[in-house]
Amino acid sequence: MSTDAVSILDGNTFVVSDNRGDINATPTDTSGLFASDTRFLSTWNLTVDGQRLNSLSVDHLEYFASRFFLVPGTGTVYVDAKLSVIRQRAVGDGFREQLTILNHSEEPVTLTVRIDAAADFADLFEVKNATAKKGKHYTRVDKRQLLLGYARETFVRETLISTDGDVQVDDSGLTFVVRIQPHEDWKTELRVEAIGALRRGAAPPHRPGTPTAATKSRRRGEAENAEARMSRNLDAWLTKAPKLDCDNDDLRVTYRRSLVDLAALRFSPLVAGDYSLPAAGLPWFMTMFGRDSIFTSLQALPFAPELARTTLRALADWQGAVVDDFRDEDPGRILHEMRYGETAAFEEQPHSPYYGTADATQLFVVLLDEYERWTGDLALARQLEPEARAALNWIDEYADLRGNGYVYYERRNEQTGLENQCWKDSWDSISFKDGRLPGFPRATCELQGYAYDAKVRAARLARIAWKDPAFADRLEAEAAALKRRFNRDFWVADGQYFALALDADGNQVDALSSNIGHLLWSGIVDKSKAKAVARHLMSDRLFSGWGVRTLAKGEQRYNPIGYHVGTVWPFDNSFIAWGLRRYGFHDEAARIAAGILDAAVFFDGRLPEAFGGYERSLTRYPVQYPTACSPQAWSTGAPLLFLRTMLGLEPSGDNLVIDPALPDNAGHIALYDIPGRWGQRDAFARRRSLRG
Amino acid sequence: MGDITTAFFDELAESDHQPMLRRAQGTIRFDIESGRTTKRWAVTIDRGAVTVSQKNRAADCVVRADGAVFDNLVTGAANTFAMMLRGQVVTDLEHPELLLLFHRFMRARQQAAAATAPPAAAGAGRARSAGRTKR
Repeated sequence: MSTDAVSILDGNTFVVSDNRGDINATPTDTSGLFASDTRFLSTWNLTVDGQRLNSLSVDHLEYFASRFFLVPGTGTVYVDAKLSVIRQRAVGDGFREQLTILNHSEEPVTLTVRIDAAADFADLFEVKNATAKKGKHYTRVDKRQLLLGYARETFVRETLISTDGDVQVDDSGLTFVVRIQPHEDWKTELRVEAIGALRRGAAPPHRPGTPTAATKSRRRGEAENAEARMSRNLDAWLTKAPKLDCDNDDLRVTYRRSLVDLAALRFSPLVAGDYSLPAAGLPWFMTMFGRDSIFTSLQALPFAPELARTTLRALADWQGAVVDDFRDEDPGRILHEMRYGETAAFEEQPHSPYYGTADATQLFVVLLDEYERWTGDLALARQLEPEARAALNWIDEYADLRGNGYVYYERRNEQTGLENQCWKDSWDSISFKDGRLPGFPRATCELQGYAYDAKVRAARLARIAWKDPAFADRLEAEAAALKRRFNRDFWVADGQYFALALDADGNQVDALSSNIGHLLWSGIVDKSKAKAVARHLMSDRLFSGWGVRTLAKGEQRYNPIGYHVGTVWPFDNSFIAWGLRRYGFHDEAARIAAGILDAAVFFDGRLPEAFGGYERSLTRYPVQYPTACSPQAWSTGAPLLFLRTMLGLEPSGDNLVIDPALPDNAGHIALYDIPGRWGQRDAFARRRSLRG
Repeated sequence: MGDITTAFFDELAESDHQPMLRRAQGTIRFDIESGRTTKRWAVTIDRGAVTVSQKNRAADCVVRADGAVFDNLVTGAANTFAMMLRGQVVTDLEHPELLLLFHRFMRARQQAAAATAPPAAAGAGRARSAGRTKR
């Protein structure tokens, strides 16, 4: 994907093109029209009289629409254009493109306008790995439409390109011969439909090359409706969110950016009716991820609690039911990742769905409780009691791989399963101080914190929603025992911090990492140890000035631009700050919030997945980690959680407690209409003691 | 189609309440094809209470599959969602949540059927050794 790539999307349908609006995908390039993890267009090029066009500008109208202003020419600096071309494109069940050509000259012109189109129907995993297709491609040319198809046995995906104007169609594109009078324009509309992509209300094609009746009847007018619907939907979303008023303009920009990006990342899994949950990120991760959807829902709870509701319901519907080694599935386990493409269909990849995550199951219970605390929606807590119990059972009966009371992970699918099933899932993320990698299974520390929190929170739900005080007592006793054990077995006494993990033999994997911040969030840390943990988090080894590094400086594998071994992750920091507040370290939490929110300014309010772990004093600006995934849901959610943390928002019974602790120079912050079981409430805060 | 599918629906008709289906509400009709014949089972679920009818009735979700494929879904040899993606199981997707809950119910049933071996000692994911699905 080139640096000037333009992405627009709706759910898991998205278009990535260059700044002319053209698509020229290579086997490993992410350009194209994608829907349900399949590339439905790999070529989409516009020429006028055989010439490619030059881009003057691109308007990002909304996350689902873009407008490209183009002129013919050779690409030199000086463009003497007698023609302008405008392509306006909106995504929605494929996309719709309005093509307008304006003749600025005194003479009429006759032009040959050509769209070249092709579809490789690559699976997203094939785009990553450049593998060959196993099925057959076909095309069908009709009077005003071109159908590109792909079939492998009964797996059929088709792209239908159609228009209304006078057009000649051949098997590689559409040609218009147009005459435009002086100072007049010519317009046409191109519609591209992705057929066979799974979405609500869509019927899959039955035989290759034969659009279904449903498809035929839906063709006209649907795209316009989709665009209008999305526009209304975005307006409603923004209107519904709490209003932020503050002295700091940058914070306002970041807040609005977060809300808009979160709207863009909403995704309707097939199970959720008209509701949506946060997908993980564009372009690789427009799908349901257990961990990412839960963390983002937690971050967004004070702003859009309905995301949590959908996430909980969808993950419950897909909860594991059987021991299945290929999918690393167990009864009670919450899914890791869901995919819709050819490799999932033919079980060449296990994502139908894949369950190899060791944290989503505990976090599911955590989210259920936190959601009830905010919304008072006892009905959902009751409805999902069996799933919550199954999740708790998974912790004890399936995740305790060493029989020592800790959550461990080790993949059973050795070909295509995930090795590291915690959020730091790269190959070198879990290491000893001296750089050695432990064997499997591994028990990372934050997994134990999540398990502890899940039990404590489930005990509360057992009392108020499930009316099972005996179960509550049992859970609390188990949680207390886990906490005692954990503070003994994971505590690195000579370093005064918690080990990153235990290895298979129960030895401490003793690197100092950001994971200890999550332990504060979960509440598993003994009070007597919290101060030492906070000191480490804010030390020069971990805190860069922008945020807490994933791995401390001085550890053998530390690398300021290593994915999970030195970079700073906004999402990680948002939970660390929440944890610091939980243990009363208000100023420390505010410093982290300030650092990350300062960094957001350099990215126009859109926090990247991660940035370099360099000292703030060294680089003066945060160095973005080179990754294509932006926006990313839990980075988008981070500013929201920071707002919660800075304002000290905490449900207490039917009330919202507001206990602000703002960073230096924050001035005044007001958040209006915070939704919850209290109806709506406003929060006001002011930082009075301005220093330096 | 084989006896497996028929036996499955017979067994379902005998049961009166399925906890796994308690969040489902509506009728899901299975059109199971075998050569030129189609057998239909309409499963009406009302908060876990299940009734099965072989009348050709309107449904909130219609699922069409070949008998041999459906046999494999029942035994667990095939995965419903993968088969949907592949086009072997066709559904209208207006109420896909019904099929999804049904899919989980079938998986749980397979787990219960497989979990006849005595549980292993504590540790090593002790619950896992009972009832394992291999591919």
